Parts: sequence; C-alpha cells; structure tokens
Amino acid sequence: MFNKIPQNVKIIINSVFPMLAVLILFAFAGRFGVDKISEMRTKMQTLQNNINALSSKLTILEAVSSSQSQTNVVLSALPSRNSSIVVVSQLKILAGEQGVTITNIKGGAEIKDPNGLSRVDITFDALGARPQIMAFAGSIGGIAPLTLLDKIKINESGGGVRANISVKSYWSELPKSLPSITDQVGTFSNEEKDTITEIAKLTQPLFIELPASDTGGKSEPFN
Amino acid sequence: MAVKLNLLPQGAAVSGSLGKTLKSIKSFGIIALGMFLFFILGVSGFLVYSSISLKGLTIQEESLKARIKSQETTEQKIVLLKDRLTKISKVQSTPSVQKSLDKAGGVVASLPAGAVLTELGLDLKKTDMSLIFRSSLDLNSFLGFVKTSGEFKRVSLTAFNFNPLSGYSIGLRFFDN
Repeated sequence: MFNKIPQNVKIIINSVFPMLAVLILFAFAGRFGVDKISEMRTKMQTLQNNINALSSKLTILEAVSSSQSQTNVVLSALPSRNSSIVVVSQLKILAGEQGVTITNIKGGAEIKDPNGLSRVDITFDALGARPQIMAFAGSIGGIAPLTLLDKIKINESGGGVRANISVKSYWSELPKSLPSITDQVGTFSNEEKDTITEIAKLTQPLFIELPASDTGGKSEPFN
Repeated sequence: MAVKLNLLPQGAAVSGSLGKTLKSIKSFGIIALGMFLFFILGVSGFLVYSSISLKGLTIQEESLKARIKSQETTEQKIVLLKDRLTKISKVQSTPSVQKSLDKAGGVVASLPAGAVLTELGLDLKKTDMSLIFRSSLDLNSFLGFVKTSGEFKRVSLTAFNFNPLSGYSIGLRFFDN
C-alpha cells in the first residue's frame, strides 16, 4: 500500500511526521505533566498550611497554663446542669451568715433565656432587720453559680422587715465536641483572664460539679 | 567544481524551496524532540522531588497531630474555659437590679433618724420607695439629699400625704435612665 504513495509525498511525510509526533506528545504529556505538577503543588501547599496551623496550635497548647482550679471555678460559676439546688443552698448559707431568715423558696421550671443559656427563676422571702436584708440582697451577686437579682420588694411594718426577692440563676450545657485538629485554639485575652480572676472571687458552693477529664475516645468529651 | 547529481526520477523529487522547508521542519522536529525529552526529564525530576517532599511533610504532619493528641486534655480545658467564659460574659451583661440596690442603699442610708421606710421595691425599670417623715424638716433634708446626690437620672414624686398623727407620707419613683 505504501509503495503506491508517490516518492515526493513520502519525503514530505518523513520530514513532517516526527515534528507532528513530537507536537502531539507535547500536547498530551505536557498537559499531564502540568496537571500533575499543579496537583503536587496544591497537595504540598495544603500540607504546609496544615503543618503551620498544627505547629501554632501545639505551641499554644504547650504554652497555655489552664489549671484544674480555673476549670472548677468556671464550672461552679456556670454549671452544666440546673443550678437551682446549689443556688438555694448558697442563699441559705449566705442568709445564715447575714442573720437573715429565708422562707417560701420557690424555683420555677427551666427557661430558655434570650442569650441562649438556660435559667431558673427563684423567689423567696427574707426576714430580718433592714440593714441585714440590704446586705444579704447586695451579696447575692457574689455567689457561685452566677445569680442575678431580678426584683426586690421590701416591706417594713412594726419593726419587722420582710423582703420578697426574685433571682435568676443560669446554666448551660457543656460543648459537645472538640474542634477539628487543625482548628486553632485561642489564647486567653486579658479580658478573659480578668473574668477568671473576678469569678474566682465568688463564694464557691460546698459541692461542685466534677470537671471534664481525659475522655479516652468518648464521643462527647465533656460529658 | 562540484557536480549536482539527482539520481531520483524527476517525478519523485521535491522542488528546491519545498526541500529546504522540509529540511527545516525536520531540524525543528529534532530540536522539539530534544526539548520534549528535556521537559519529560524535568517533570519527572520535579515529581520525584515532590513525592519525597510530600512524604516528609506527611510524616511531619502526623507527628504534630500525635503531639496535639497527647495535649487533648489541655485542649479540652481551653475549649471548656473559652465556652464558659463566653457564656459567663453574657450573664454578666444581663441587666440586674444590683446597681439600683446599691444606689437605693445610699438613699436609704441618708434617711434622717425619725424617717421610716415602709416600702422599697426594685425592678429592672424603676425603684419605688414609700417613706414617712415625722417633720417637714426631715422631709426637706431628705429631698435635698435626693436632689443633690445625682444617683438617679429621674425622680418622680408618686404620692404625698399628710397625717397629723404620723406625719408626711411620700412615694418616690427613681429611674436609672
């Protein structure tokens, strides 16, 4: 069949074919090579970014000193479960210290607060002398779990003082998971450090919630 | 003198200019082949180098992950602390009557000896006080204190009664804003 091709055409084919073959190879191999190079570069870049993130995270983890006592302090200030029993206990202790008697203690059901936390409203009556009741009410903000004074109504008659006090106490569920291994953990800002110092001054309850511990592969590390 | 010989049949020969072009194309083909081989060599070299680097980086990453895993307890504590601190700041920014109580305490402490506080009510919007003064002098002195203390932004007199037996009975409403 090739014998039928004219000699001059054969000469042209012989000259042009190697060039064409190289160009075709260039087109395919070049594309493959460029794709492979770009894939490798992307992989290396991703790995390098991960390594940088991990190194920075490790540096923070090794440098940050978060003691067990800090964990206890924040957990007693904002527990993970309904805090009403602890709050009532704290109020009774506080009332005893201030020479005030508290009666008619009523705790409501769990309320979902607009700030995303859970809260319980507790109302009670306090009996005693006015200065003691004022001092007692003023000290409520100093107990752990965090308790806010919502309403007070003090009535004085015949030398006796009765105060109807309403307080709000908060709690919130613990985080359910740890962030991804490449996610950064932030260091503590000065504001956060101040908050820890501030809440460490709160009167701690006699019984506290057990803090999070090494989980050994539990799906919810804080529970 | 050199003699040009063409042993090919006349029909099989290519013309002079086309022959030159074909010769050039052939030369370019050889150069392109060389470049292609060089390119292949370069790409292969890069891929080998990248694979080795990639392996090294993967080992480095795994080692870092293992070290971070060993710090999991610390990470848990940090996450827990951060979570609690964010939520604690939300609680702390929730309004309460604590400040109003402190201010009301200051007002109550300024009451003259003969005055009686019959009622004190505080909520997030206002502070109500009901007071009895035996003399207009005591009342005057107290109102003077309220006026000058500047503790509350606005004060309303909600009630004013006089009884010859008990004295002046007044109601005050204090506003923080």
